[in-house]
Parts: sequence; structure tokens; C-alpha cells
Amino acid sequence: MASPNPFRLDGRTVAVIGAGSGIGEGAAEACARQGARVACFDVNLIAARATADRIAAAGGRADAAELDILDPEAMGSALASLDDLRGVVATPGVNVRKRLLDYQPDEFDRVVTLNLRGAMCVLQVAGRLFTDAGGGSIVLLSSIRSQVTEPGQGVYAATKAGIVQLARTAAAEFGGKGVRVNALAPGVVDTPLTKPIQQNEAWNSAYAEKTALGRWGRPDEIGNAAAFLVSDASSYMTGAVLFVDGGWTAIDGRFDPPA
Amino acid sequence: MPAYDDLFRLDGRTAVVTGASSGLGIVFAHALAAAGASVVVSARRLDRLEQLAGEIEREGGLALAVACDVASEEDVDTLAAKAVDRFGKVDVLVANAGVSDPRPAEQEPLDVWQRILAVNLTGVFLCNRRFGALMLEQGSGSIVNVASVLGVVGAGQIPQASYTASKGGVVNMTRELAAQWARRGVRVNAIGPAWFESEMTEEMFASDQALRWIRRKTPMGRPGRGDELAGPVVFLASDASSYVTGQTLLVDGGWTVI
Repeated sequence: MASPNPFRLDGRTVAVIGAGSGIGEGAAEACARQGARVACFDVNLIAARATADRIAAAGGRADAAELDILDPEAMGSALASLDDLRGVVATPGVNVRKRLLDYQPDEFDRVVTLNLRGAMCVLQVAGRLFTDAGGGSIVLLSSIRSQVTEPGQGVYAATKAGIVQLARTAAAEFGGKGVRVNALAPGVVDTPLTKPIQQNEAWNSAYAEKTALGRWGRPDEIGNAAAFLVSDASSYMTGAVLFVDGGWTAIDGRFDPPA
Repeated sequence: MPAYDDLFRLDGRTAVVTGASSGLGIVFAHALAAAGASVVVSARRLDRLEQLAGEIEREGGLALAVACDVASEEDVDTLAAKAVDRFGKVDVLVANAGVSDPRPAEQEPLDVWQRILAVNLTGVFLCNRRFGALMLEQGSGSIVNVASVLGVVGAGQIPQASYTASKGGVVNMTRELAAQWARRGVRVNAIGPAWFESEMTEEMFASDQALRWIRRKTPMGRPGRGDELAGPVVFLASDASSYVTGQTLLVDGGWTVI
């Protein structure tokens, strides 16, 4: 058909911070398959390289570099060195599952620092770059935990809710400059981070049952949504929270009553 | 590289669009056809539908025009029967038909309230029920309901209790149908547009004052262009959103963040 496909990312660079594993890896692959040149960043250079190599082996274009999401200076020069940068997806996060009464200050600091200050670094660095350039799309990773929680998820949930309000405020502040900021909110996803849960049969099936679709999500399913939010197909979406959660937040209750 | 963007495509699928005789419905029909779907376009005004179906066919797509009042159970049944008769199945429903008639609540007559609810809420239910049943039978399908930002926030300046109530109803009905049908292969989502130029908003877009209000209140500083709703609709209709159900995707330039 005549009109160009708005989902394509040909001729554009997308930076994926956290591209070494899980959802970041899924986002990098999805953007590459939509035609983007992908800059794979991760604190683990070997993992970032592995993702870039897989993309290249499949015929896509990708580079890899080491980057700590908490180092704004390094992030600034890394992103500034990229040509045609149009999108930044940032996925790094950490969870210490522990009840509130047992949480230690250093654990609180570790979760809040990586999840919330990391998101803030991305907004400041990419936000400055994109507002100066007059356009760009930033995708931050929130979670269903921004809306619903469970025992042991308090601090993680607080950071993921915090990311939503940071993204919404950034959308309000950057909107006039053509910069879009959205949050992706995955449900339970099969990643290295959640492997321990999946290895516990009761826990694994309880989470699958809690979703409307009755299953865990795959990293590529989150990656596709990230590619959509980076692309022009979502050009009027900003400040939105896109839940890719198999219906987790659309329903309540875990009990499936007999018909 | 494999043709990965097939994931965002609808080749071989059949899509039904209601409210396709004007504005956004026309945009959706063209976008679904451009993504590879055969398209059944429906609305009350058949002449305009036939013109649209002709345009789609001239662009190389397949289209069928069917007159349908979504508030009529009988019409919706006929629409489904004609769609299946022509294309054998229906994979995608875009429930877009909607009406509006703004006025202050204290002056909103019961018959206006009832007409808005009949089209915007009952009509969406009737289409979801009929096409949902078809999709459940075949074990797959994706429904996209057209809600509105006015399904999650009030408007005030363009007062309309019935419209906001109907769209709020669509938002939560979308969650409920998603919950009921998720494990039988049918996903149900909605989009929530803010201000887009269409027949419904013609008067607004003709008013400098209203346009100024939109620009001032929208973080992106402008109303939406019709084609900017096509991406979200095709995303939700396609396999690219295979783990998304029960959601209302707000396409609002940031309207609801501030």
C-alpha cells in the first residue's frame, strides 16, 4: 500500500538500556526486526554483546557498549554519540522481596536507587537530548506492581508507581518539544530475573492462573509493545501506561468459580 | 531478517469496522486494509460506505459495505451473517460507532440520554456479543472498542453526562469481556482518544476558542490527527499485542496526565 508503515523503524537508532537480558533483550530484538539500528547497553558488556551478536546474526543492525544506568555523564556521552537516535528504552530494575517489617535500609536504598534514580537519569539525559533535538520517544519500564501489590512487594511496587508519575510528568514537561514519554507495565514475564519463581511449581502456576490469559508473558511480547511505543504508530500517545499483562490488572480474584 | 513486521500485520484476516461512514471509522478501515485485512465497513448510511469500499478495492484491498444500526440486534445479526457469508470468518472487530450531543446535564432530556447510551454502550455490547461469539467458536479474535478519554475523566467544558457515562461503561465492559473470554482465544481492548477531527467534533474544530482550549490543555500542544489512531488500533488488532487484554490505550497527547 502507498502509505509508509508507521510501525517500521528503518533509518533510526534506538538505544536499549538493559539490553543484555530479559525484557531489554526482547525490546532490542523487536526494534531491530522493525528496522532500527539498535544500541545495546547493559552494565554487563558480555550480555549486551551477546544480544547485539544475535541481532546481527539474524540480519539486523546492532552495537553493544557497557553502561551503568546510574551514571548520567556516561549515559550522556553514549547517547550523544549515536546518529539518528529517535528512541530510548530503559529496562534495568531490581526487586528485593521482603515484608516491610523486615526491610533493611540498604535494601530499600538499593531498590529505590536502581529503579527510581535510574529512571530519573534516563529522563534527564534522554529528555535533554530529545528536547534539544525537537523529538524522540522514551519508554520506561513500570510494572503491574504500580497498580496492584502483594506481601513482600512494597518497595518495588512503590518504585514502579513512582516511575509512572515520573513518566507522566515528563510527558507534560516535554510534550511541547515533540518528545513522548510512556511507561510499559508488564505482568509476569519469563526472564532470568523470574526464573526462581518459575522453578517453584505452585508459585509458577498461581501467577499463570492470576492472569486472564492463564499464562506468563514472553519477553518478545513486551518487546513488541516497546517497539510500538518507539515508533510513529504511537505518535499521539504520551504519558500513557501500557499494561502488557495478559489481563492481570483487568480482573480481580484468583478463584475460578465452577460454571 | 524474517519479515517480523508480519506481527503488526493482518494479512488473511477479516476485520469489521462499525461507524465507518465518517471520520475515524474511515481512517480505521483504510488502516486495517493497508495492514492486509479484508474489511467489512458498516454504518447506517450505505451510499457513503459503498464509496469507501470502492476506494479500498481500488487501493488493492478487499472490502464489503453493509448497512447497520448498531443499536439494532437484528441489524448486528445481519452484519455478522453478511461478513461471514463473504469472507468466511471475522478475526477483528473495531467497535467504533458512536454519537454525541453535548449539553448541560440539568438540561439533558431523557430521550437524548437514552439515544446516546443505545448507540455508544448497548451498540458496543451487541457487536461485542455477536462477533465475540463468532470468535469464541473459531477460538481466536481481537476486539478493539473505541472508548474515549471521557471514559476515564470528565470534560466539563463540553458537557455531556450521557457520552461520558457510555464511554466509562465501554472501558469497564472491555475489562469484563476480556476476563470472560481470555482463555478462549479472544482478546478485548479499547482505545481512549482525546480530541481528533471528525464529524462529531466538526463544530469544535471550527471554533478558535475550542482549538485554543485543546492546544493549551494538551501537553503535546495540538489535537490528534486521525491517522494517529490507526497505529494503536492495528497494534491491538494484531498479534503484536498477544499479551494485552482488558486494556484501554489512551491516545490523548497527554490530556489525562495533567
